[in-house]
Amino acid sequence: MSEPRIALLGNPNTGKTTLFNRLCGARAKTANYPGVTVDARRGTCTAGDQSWTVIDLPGIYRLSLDLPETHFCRDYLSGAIEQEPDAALVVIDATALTRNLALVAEVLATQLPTVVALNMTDLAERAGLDINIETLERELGCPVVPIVARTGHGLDLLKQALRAPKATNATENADPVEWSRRVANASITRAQIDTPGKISDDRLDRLFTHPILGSLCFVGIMGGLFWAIFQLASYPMDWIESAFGFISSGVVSILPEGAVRDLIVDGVIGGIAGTVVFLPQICLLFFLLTLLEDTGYLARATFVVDRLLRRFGLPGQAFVPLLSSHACALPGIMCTRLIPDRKQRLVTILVAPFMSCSARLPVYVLLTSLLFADRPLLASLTFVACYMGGALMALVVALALRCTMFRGPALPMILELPSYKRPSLRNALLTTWDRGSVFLRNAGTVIVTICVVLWWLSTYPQLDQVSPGVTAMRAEAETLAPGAKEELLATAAAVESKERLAHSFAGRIGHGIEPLFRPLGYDWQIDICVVTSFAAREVFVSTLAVILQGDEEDEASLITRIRESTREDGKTPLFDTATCVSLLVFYVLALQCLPTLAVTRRETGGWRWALFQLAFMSVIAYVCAWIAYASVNAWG
Amino acid sequence: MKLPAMPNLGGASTPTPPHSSDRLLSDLAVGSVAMYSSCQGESAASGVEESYLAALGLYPGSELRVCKVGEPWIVEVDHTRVALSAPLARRMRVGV
Repeated sequence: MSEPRIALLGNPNTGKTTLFNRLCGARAKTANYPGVTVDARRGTCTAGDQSWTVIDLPGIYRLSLDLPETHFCRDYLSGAIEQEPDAALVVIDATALTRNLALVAEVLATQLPTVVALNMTDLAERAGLDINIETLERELGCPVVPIVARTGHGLDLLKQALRAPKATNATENADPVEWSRRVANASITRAQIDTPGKISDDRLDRLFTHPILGSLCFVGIMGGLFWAIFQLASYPMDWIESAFGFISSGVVSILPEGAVRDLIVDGVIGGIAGTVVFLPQICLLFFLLTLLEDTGYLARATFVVDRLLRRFGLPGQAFVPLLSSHACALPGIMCTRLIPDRKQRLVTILVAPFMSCSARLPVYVLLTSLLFADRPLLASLTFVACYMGGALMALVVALALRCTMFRGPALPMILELPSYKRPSLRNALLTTWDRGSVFLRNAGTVIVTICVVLWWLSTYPQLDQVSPGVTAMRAEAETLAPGAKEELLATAAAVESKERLAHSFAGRIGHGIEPLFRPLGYDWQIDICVVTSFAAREVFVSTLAVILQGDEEDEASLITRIRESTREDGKTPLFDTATCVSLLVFYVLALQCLPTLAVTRRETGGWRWALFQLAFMSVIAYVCAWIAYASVNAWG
Repeated sequence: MKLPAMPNLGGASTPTPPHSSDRLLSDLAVGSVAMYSSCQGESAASGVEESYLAALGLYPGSELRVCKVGEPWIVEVDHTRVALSAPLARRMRVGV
């Protein structure tokens, strides 16, 4: 017999996820339900010989609100998504009883056997609230267990109560608001209004939402967050790269040369490494954001950013998705679920990939190194300009979309500000584990598949025999002295490699689209990089390394080879200044990321908006890159 | 299983007509205590606004305390702090 299933419900900021983590620990995983865009975590809770499957539904204020999360909860409770749950566990905030009881009223009306967990009883006590549990239990007609989810206090009693949940008709179809007011008034025996906690909350709120001081705090906190993401994550990223390099070398030494070895080393291991390397940044981002969210600061920051974003038709809630997109657009787009207004959410999804993600970094590093080899200050400024350019374009396009396709009034900002409190390290670690797993599952599988396909495209069909020119070079090399011989043999190998690539499907595609990209200054070799990097932008550098033959890990030698590489005439540099600038502009603005398209499709419920996103970003990137190329050439 | 009907937004269904003692929330000073009355607005979004406010505990008759004025306005209702954009605060009527 399967375990009883318990639907975990509650208002946002009631400690629902903290309770879920306490009940199920690291055994939980995010469940994706087909056809819906809302995630729910699922875990197992045990107490002695009894175990339950707990489904952590999204935080909602009321079942009657018209929001995607609310629709999901209603459908889940009615059995429209999977079999109806056996019971409901509703978490309510003891410090905001009336508001939370309105949701309890709606859940009780479904006739599901229910248990209520009265959380944050410690904060209620400190706030001067005295709640009579017996009265509350009698009014609700179901078990009510006082708990403190953050410390684990009361969890044993809660598990006991879960053995006997009760279905009642306590509300008797009364208006949920009127009913919750009456029940709260009957249950609260002492309420003190002014407490020292409230006064300090008032002061902190005035500071964090102040136009100037609040903005300074915001810049400082977010600056620290960025620094941590890019600086601290660089160490584990280096370790991951080294580990995969070691694995590749091991496979190369074991397997004989041939297609199978190439597939495993370049396709599978290369694909996995390309994804996993960004995991530290993603994990660090979610870890720090969860800590910040737990403190209560993030809700205040939303209002600081709202002042800027609303001028461009975006809400303050778009800030977290746009910030997350700097690490990777995938979690950024998934974070847009925080935005209640549908139009604003869609616009945020559409512009999020303009933010410079980590995958663009290798391309920026390469191109700025080519442009300003001996001028590090100019290279750094160009780097910053790339970030600013992407963010600015996101805001301009958001404004354009809100003035055209997504016109109309937006919901004004209405936001609950959670109390300031010490963040839970355990909660942050469990959330990081969960989000990291989701990233690896969603993105990893797609990227690895695409890398394998691209490897196949750039390997097949294979060249049956090398050109007479290469054969002649090799014959000539045999007649030369040792030093000159090796040099000529290396040149012959490079030419052969280029011929093989030109003969492959990828090479043919590169030649095929050459006329399209010629106005931007790209020849067929760069076109191959543009095509292959559509899977993931960072593939641009590795493809270039393949085309120009050599060890891609050796960045210095790669840059030298790129700088010395020529077009087919053998004289014109492949990467002149105009081409480098054009490529940089193109990569700042182009979508060039298939997994992002897949996530946009999933979050918007179809390919329509995903294809629209691809189209407008590609057009903007192409036009801006063309303008950049023409301007640099005209300027000389 | 009975589920609440979508249009039932509890507390937001019957807007209270402005009362002679009603004032705008934006007219109150920090520390003022008042009863929320209604939210003015004729746009299609105003119903959604009312339902959001109700979900956060701001329904006709709720007692609120003004914690901060300006952008955003912060009020406390039923021990919950709710931040409201200034344009919205200028449309919310309260009884003093």
